Amino acid sequence: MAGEREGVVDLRTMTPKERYDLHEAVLDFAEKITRSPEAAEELTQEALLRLMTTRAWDPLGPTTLERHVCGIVRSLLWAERTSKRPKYERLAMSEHVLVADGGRSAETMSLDRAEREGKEAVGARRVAKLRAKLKGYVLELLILDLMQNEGIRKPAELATRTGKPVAEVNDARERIRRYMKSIIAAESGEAEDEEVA
Amino acid sequence: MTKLTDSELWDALEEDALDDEMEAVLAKTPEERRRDLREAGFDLEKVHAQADALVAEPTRPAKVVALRPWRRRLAIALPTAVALAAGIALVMNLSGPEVVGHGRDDPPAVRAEALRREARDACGARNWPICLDRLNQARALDARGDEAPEIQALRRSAGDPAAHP
Repeated sequence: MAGEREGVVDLRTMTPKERYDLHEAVLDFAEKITRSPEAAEELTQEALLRLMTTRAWDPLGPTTLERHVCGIVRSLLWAERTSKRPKYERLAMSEHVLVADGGRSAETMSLDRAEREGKEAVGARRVAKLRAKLKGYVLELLILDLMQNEGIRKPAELATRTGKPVAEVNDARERIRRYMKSIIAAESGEAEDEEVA
Repeated sequence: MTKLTDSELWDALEEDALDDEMEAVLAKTPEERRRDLREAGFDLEKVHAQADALVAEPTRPAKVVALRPWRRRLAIALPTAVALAAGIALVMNLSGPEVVGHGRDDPPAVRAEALRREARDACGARNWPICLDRLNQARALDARGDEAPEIQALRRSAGDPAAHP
């Protein structure tokens, strides 16, 4: 790649085609995970700026440039999700704190504890909802159990443990995600919390 | 292995979804990505302009917006200035001299050649965005000159997908 020089990539020395291919790959990923062209553009630009400043890529390392920048996008989004929970989620967390603490104001509690408990309450409610929606889907529920109880996450390992083909496991994981999206959409008031096949 | 809490399980599910999405995007060809971006409503020319702006502008913009080419800025500024001057002349009932250009009164072919010289220099310095920009400006002034094999070779080296083989 033309942009490689002494272990550091410089976008300015890449050919336009190389830069456009990279930009498109990163933008495509950002759009897939945000479903918002505006958010995807902002994430892409931020990730590429980080690449040129604090998150340089090492061409001699094991990761491709595209994967490296997509990884930056992923961590930016994840940081945003965990530090700035959506309004509806923060509301649910503060409601939980008020109820759990006998009606005392949230200020009287440790913010850390409040946040932790609120996050757990949101998680518990969501997972309960997810399990309820997945009632009757034996493989999907088994995957949730293996993930939660044994920390198994890789499709191949899940396939081994469930005795199902990887393709079937992946279909089940897709169904789990569709239900998760419908739960989140319902929380944010974007859509009905309807059944998804 | 400690059992994950419900919150940790939800996070793990979300993280896995992100990872799988990344693998799916990375497995695509550039053509497939372009098709998907178009389907998602992106204008690829605008996307490329943003990519160019990112390397042309070293400071961190709040939001990178493709700069309007100077000719388009000129297309707005010049008629505005002419209209203002005409308005003033009308109000003052003056029949002043004809409004002339702003110094760029060389024939288009001459200006195009000057721009192509800048393009050659920029391409020589591997400054591809400037190189392409100057070539495009020159083409707008002198389309026939753009067909020259040397200019097309410059375009190819600058990565212009529309360049002739």
